[in-house]
Amino acid sequence: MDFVQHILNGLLQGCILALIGLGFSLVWGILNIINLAHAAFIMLAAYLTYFLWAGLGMDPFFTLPISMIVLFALGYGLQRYVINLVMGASILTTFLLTFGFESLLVNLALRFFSADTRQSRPLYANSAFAVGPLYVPYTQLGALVVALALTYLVYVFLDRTRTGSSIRAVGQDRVAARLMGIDIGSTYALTFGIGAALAGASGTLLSTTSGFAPNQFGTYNVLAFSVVVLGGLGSIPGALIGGLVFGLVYEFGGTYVLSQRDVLIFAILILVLVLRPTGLLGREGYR
Amino acid sequence: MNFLIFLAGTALAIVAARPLTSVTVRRAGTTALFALMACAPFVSSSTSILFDALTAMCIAYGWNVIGGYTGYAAFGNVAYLGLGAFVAAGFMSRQPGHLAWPWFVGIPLAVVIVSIVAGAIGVVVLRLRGHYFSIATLGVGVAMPQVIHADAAFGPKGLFPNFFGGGLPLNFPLPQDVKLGSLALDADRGLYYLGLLTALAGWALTLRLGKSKFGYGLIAIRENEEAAEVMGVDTTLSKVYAYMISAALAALGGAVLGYKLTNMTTEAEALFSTSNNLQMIIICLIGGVGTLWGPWIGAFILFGIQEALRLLSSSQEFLAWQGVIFALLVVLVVLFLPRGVMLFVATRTRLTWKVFARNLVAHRV
Repeated sequence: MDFVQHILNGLLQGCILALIGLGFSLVWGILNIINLAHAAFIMLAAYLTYFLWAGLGMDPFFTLPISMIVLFALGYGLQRYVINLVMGASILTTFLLTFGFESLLVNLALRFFSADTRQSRPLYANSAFAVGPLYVPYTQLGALVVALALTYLVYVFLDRTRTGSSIRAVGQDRVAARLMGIDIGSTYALTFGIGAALAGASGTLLSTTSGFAPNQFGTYNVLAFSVVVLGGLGSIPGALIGGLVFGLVYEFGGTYVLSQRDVLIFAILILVLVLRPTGLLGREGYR
Repeated sequence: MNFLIFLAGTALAIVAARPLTSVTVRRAGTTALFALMACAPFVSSSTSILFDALTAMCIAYGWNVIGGYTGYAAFGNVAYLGLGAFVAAGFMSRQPGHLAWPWFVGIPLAVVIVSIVAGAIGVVVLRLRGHYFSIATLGVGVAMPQVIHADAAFGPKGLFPNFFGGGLPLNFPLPQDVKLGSLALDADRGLYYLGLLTALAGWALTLRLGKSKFGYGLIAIRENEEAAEVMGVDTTLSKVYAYMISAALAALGGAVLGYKLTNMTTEAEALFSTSNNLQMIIICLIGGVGTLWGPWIGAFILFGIQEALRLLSSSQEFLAWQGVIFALLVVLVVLFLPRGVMLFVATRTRLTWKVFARNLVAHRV
């Protein structure tokens, strides 16, 4: 029964990873940027939720819209006024710029929030929902519902709305999109903002499911990248599958194979990159 | 005093790097710079920050080979920096079961071993390009500190039992006073010269690279990999060699840094930190990526700024803000001066606000 419980834990964790990967994948697929500040966005939202819970006594799940809106604004502004300035430069430039922001945010967090480990623990944090011998903590269950709902919303937004179509158009062919009258600069900013908002949502969820400190988030960049590479760039179902697979890897890898999880994830990443660079469900454009 | 040395060193390096002046003046600049560096420990009371600048420079020269000349944005050289320190410690440590070899055996051996490891990793990751290469190397940087704690290889019953200490921290032998004939060097000065040696190794290697067929091959790969392949450059082999050289210099700098740290405890784990990773890149960026003098100038400017800040504020306050200042510097340099100081040194561009403004909007959407 232990085994089934592990599968369950892995899948629950995987949904959050899928959400992290989704935001990362959107920015990468449309803007062709690897946003290394993604992990710092997650961290900021985790702290935002923590302080709203610890300071004002808000339920962590009700802080979700707040952290998403704040992070959206931050991402939108950052892309609009800063990153848009280097969109035409080499890969190294965008890489370094986002890495610089990541480093800046983490160091500021260390300075102001200290390196202490924190966690948002509402009253129901320790209680779990039992199905026979299996346990599902309520926070994990909530995270699962939120992650799946947001993934579905992004899918509907990109697929069914006019703005969503223009985002996909910019991702497919920037020049043609501009000729069709799409404002590239603001579409980039909007996309980056959505990516940051998704990072914000995952940060809020993570702050309830596990303890965190400013310098523990760096792994999420490599993890998000791995999720996207495995699932396939430009695919929402891909991000979901990639997230679930890595959730299982994280759970089982830590328990049965190697205590060094990052090594395992890195090995899988390299294997996928070398054997099947387009990922499981990768394709051109964004779907 | 150290600040003045940084200032004079930067000025001399700029003289030596400026292609518009005559060869004689440039040679004189180079000679004067090296003479200054050789005299430094007898002028300055504490050479600690100069040592830091020189080892960082060596590591930056290493990054410059793969990131600058070859144009592959490697983000995981910090793995080789830390690995170099730990492997050297493994050979030199006085802990029971270790070999306690002297530094002139342990450090070169570490460099060789790390290059071989980097070669094996390079064969795989250099098949990737662009974003994929960068993230894969970033992954190397994240995974390496965990690899050295992997029980299967380095645990009590592993392949190399307890090579990295296995619970007990490794420790380097304390640097000894050196006597060379009539010349006596205390341990601190000896370490400084070791640091200077690493920087000169990086410099000399880059000088050779810039004049060799191999170096031109790397630049060709950076400009257009397919064209380079067609022109007869063995791109795969060249890239792997470049990656190995890059790792070797990182390991050299790291091993010497570790030697100074002495005890490989938590502080040694920090050799793998993000700020070390960022430091080598920002040094190249400040100076000028893919140039001979760029890392030298960049390192002296970066550490010159650090020294100036330390003089201006109490060191406790400074340490707390160091990371923030550093990250801010990265963002500002990327935005305003992506070609580094070399832009002013190597071309006729004048230092005006307009240059920064033009750089800022050069690549906007």
